[in-house]
Amino acid sequence: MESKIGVYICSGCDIDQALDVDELVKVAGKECKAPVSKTHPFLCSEEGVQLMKEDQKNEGVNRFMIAACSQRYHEATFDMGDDSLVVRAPIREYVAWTQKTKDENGEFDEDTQLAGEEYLQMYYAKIKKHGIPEAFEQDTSKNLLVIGGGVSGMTAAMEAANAGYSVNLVEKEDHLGGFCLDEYKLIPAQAPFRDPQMNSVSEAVSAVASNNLITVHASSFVVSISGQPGEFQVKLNTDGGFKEFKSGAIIMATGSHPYDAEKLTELGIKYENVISSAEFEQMAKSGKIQRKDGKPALNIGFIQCAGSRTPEHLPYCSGTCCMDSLKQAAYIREQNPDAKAHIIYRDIRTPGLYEDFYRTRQDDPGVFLTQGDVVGVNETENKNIAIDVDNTLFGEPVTMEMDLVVLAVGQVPSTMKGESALNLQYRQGPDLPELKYGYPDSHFICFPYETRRTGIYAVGSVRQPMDINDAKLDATGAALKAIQAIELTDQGKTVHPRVGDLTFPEFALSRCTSCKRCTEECPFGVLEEDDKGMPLPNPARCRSCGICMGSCPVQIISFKDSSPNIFKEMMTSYEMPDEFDEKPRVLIFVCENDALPVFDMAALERLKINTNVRIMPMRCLGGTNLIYVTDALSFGYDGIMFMGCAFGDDYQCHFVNGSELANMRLSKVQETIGRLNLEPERVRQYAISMNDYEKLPKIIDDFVEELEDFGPNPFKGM
Amino acid sequence: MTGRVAVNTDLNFVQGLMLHGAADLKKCYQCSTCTVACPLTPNDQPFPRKEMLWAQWGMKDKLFRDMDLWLCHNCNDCTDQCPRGAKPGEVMSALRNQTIEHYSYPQAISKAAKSARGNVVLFLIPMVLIALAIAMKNIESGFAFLTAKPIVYANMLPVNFIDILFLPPVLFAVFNSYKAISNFIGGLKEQYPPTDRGENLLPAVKGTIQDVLSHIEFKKCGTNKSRNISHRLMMYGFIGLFITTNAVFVLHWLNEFGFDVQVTPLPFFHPVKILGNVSAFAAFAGIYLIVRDRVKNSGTSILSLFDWMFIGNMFFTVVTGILCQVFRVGDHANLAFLTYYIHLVMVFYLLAYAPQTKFGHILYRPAAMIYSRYSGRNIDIFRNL
Ligand code: SF4
Ligand code: SF4
Ligand code: SF4
Ligand code: SF4
Repeated sequence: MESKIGVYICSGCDIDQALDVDELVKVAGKECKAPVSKTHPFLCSEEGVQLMKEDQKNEGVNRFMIAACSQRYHEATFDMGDDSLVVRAPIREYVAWTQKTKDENGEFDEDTQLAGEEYLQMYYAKIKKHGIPEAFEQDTSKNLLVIGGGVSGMTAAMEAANAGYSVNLVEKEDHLGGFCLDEYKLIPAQAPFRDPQMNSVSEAVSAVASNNLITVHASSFVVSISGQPGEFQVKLNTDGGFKEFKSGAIIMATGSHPYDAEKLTELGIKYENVISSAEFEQMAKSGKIQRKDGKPALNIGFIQCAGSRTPEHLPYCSGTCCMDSLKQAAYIREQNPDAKAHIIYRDIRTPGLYEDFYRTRQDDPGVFLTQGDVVGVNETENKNIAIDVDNTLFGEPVTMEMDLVVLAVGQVPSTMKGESALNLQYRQGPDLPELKYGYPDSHFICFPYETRRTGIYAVGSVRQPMDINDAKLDATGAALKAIQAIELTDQGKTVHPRVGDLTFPEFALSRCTSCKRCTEECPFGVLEEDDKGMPLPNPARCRSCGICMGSCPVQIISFKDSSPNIFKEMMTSYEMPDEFDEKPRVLIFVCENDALPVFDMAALERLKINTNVRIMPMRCLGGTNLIYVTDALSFGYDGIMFMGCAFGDDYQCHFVNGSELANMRLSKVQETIGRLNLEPERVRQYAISMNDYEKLPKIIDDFVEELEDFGPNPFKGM
Repeated sequence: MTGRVAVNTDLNFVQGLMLHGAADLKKCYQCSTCTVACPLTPNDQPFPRKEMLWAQWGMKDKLFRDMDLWLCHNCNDCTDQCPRGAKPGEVMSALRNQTIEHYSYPQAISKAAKSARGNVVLFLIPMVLIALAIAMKNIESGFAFLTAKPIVYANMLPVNFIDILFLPPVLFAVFNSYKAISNFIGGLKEQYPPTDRGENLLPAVKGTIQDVLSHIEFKKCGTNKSRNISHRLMMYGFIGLFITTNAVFVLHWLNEFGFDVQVTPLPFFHPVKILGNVSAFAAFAGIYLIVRDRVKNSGTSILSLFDWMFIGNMFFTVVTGILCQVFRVGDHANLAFLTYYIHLVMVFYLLAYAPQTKFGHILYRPAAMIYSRYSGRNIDIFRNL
């Protein structure tokens, strides 16, 4: 189809207080040669949209360049239908709200006007080069694979089935139920949250077993998974035989196990009357809370955080053992009114309404609680256990002689067992990459269920330490995410976090050198290799982050709306002011996820931003290709800033390590800049987040000021 | 293992406490708001937070030797501020009762004073004894005192009878008090060995007397402000009544030995009479105010029978005392003698069981207050009036 571009410049939202809009319309016509260019005082109003719709109908405009607000506003308002492209030129945020406005005589500022015109040309260059996005096609299976038949897995399976999706549920044991099935009682899940409740896991087991949409594969494990979301090929081993089927998305609910108490030598595990909380649970279940020698256990001590929050064992808090010990204290009191439970804790962590559970135990005269550090556990002659505790609430070091001592141990994810539950046939390995302590990486703050393998969701206590009630919630959420993945994949769209994006990396393979940078650097394991070592994309696994595009040394990876070529066209689209103009130009590459909102926020607050900068948003800083630097510097830009999220242990990147990769690549830019005989300080990366918006103008001013020392870029005008 | 305190929890003790005035004690989560709120605690090892923990864990040995229980004047500022509703002020009070019971001799009397049935026995003893004495004295005259005019209480039971009847229990009480208090002080000494910051014994006693008379501790109280007045009225009232009783005793025996002094019934304007009446009304007013506040605060205050028996006894002792005079002057013989009989029973209960009942606080508290000065603990007290 013939493409016809229309430029629509809004003069509302005070844009006309800073920019001579009529002049801009002329620039669009004269400089850009746009076939249609118009202005409207209120473009996002019904009339404004109507204006464009009419042009679409009567004039055949099918590429709309909307020079108005940031792309983060009015996405739906400016949706011009499937057959038309929309590109947004945010002159409101980049210019009108952050640059000098008209003076008191009604004169427009020269620099502000210039900024408006330059942005117009930059975005016009972009819309000219913009390709038509296309969904990928595949034969999607709407079946869900759930690995692990414990509470999380069963809940996910039930939720998916209730939503009408068929499920294959794989369990390695010969029965469903998992760890919680064997618990004596459960922590409460509903008001009044005071007492342990009957274990109802076996009812869940029967409900799952009798559900028509759920196929249970007991005594089974996954031999291999290949393919991509929508068409995973799954191979199972069931009691020695093999089964194969297709699945659209995968939920990994392989659970956790208690920390091995045998390792807790410093807490006296070698003594016969020191046992783990898991062992105690079974003892209570049998109805016989007693010592190994058969004598009744009247004084029972609980040592909290046994091995937890301790660098040599588990550095983290499992968040469950406090509730477990309080629950077990209830067993003790219920089975023998003369028996006493003594709980020595570092802090009691019973968040939310669990507080009521804690209070109920606390109100029981036979439950004794104190904070303290256990410094010694010793056996006495009569096989009692003396616990020495420092820093107690008593204000002095104490010792307590107990008949039986329970070590409240934490959770260890099943991934630490050393065998793969997924056996992914991915070039990047069989498992989900992990963040810490065996828990899969998931950008847990913003996207708790996500892993670094699209369409595969870790859930329950394999994702992070959690109790049964949280696991159920977690499983419900993950089931919905899995369904969403199946449906978006079916429509050939990106799943997350650029939900619904229709642009995917394209590889001009004729120029590929098989360097494998893209396959290595893609954080999501999207790219396999063909036999020549060239990338073989799996679009349904792709998050459209653009990191591969940044990694490619010969720049053969591109997207329909973003590519080294489009960037180059944009940055060179206007006439670079020459060195005598005293109008330096600084290019800022801005990550759309983290840094762009900072600019929008600064604009909202009407903070003034240096007039010599030009902003170029990108999907992720990970898309930074060194060619951008050379292109910009050779065109005469005096400096380049890259603004994205913080990286490192507490990374904020939507795509895991984009800003880190950008940093790595930019550290190598020295050489390139050196070759151009320029100062390396002209290029710098900044980590920035929403709460930095007030500092933004100063950060930019400081950079521009520093550049003055180097003088103008000698390549200007060449 | 040196320097470690062995902690042995005592479930029975905790349950007993919860049953007798400290029902909410387990709610404490050791936030220490109470120690901050308390206007009377020293900065060093402040109370009542630590007492709450000891109580929760049933650590009797610590509690019975705890001087701080007695430095607390039950103002309930802590109870007011406690975020958990653990009522530390009430717990302190219950712990004092337990301490009295622990040191009391014979313990059976204290135990009896906690229960309704026990109290029946405790009352029956003076009721029977006094009734027997009245019977012995009047059986020959056919209870002529009932009809004799004017009403003279000595006709029913002459003063020497009363003295003979009351002397043994008083001696009994004095002996028991001595035993209890010396054990108590022994315990205090172990838990808080005297430091060189302490005062000498005499200044300590003098200072304590001043503190008690001026009610300086009560004045610091925020929540129960009115107790400064009510407790003071009651205390002075009882001191006055104590003096009156002794004065009557002295007058009587002077008279017996032939001195020319007036004996009961004394005329209305006799100084002893005036002292007696003023004291009785002061005590009545004090008790009335206390009871009124207790009832008003019954939401936050959970008094045990042990406490009510004490307040109730005081109240009825004073009321019957006043009524005796009213009925005598009003010439209602039957009512008058009956009231007098009840009055005697009440007084007997108060005196004879003093060290075993809550009345014993008049021994324990001053003892602890003197010891706190003597040991030097008193120095740390916030004197933030
Ligand atoms: S849940 Fe409680 S016992 Fe477990 S690690 Fe956390 S604080 Fe320690
Ligand atoms: S790097 Fe990003 S855009 Fe490239 S293939 Fe991987 S997920 Fe897709
Ligand atoms: S008694 Fe109340 S105020 Fe005092 S420590 Fe306990 S909870 Fe806190
Ligand atoms: S009742 Fe008053 S004096 Fe006693 S501990 Fe509480 S605040 Fe302190």
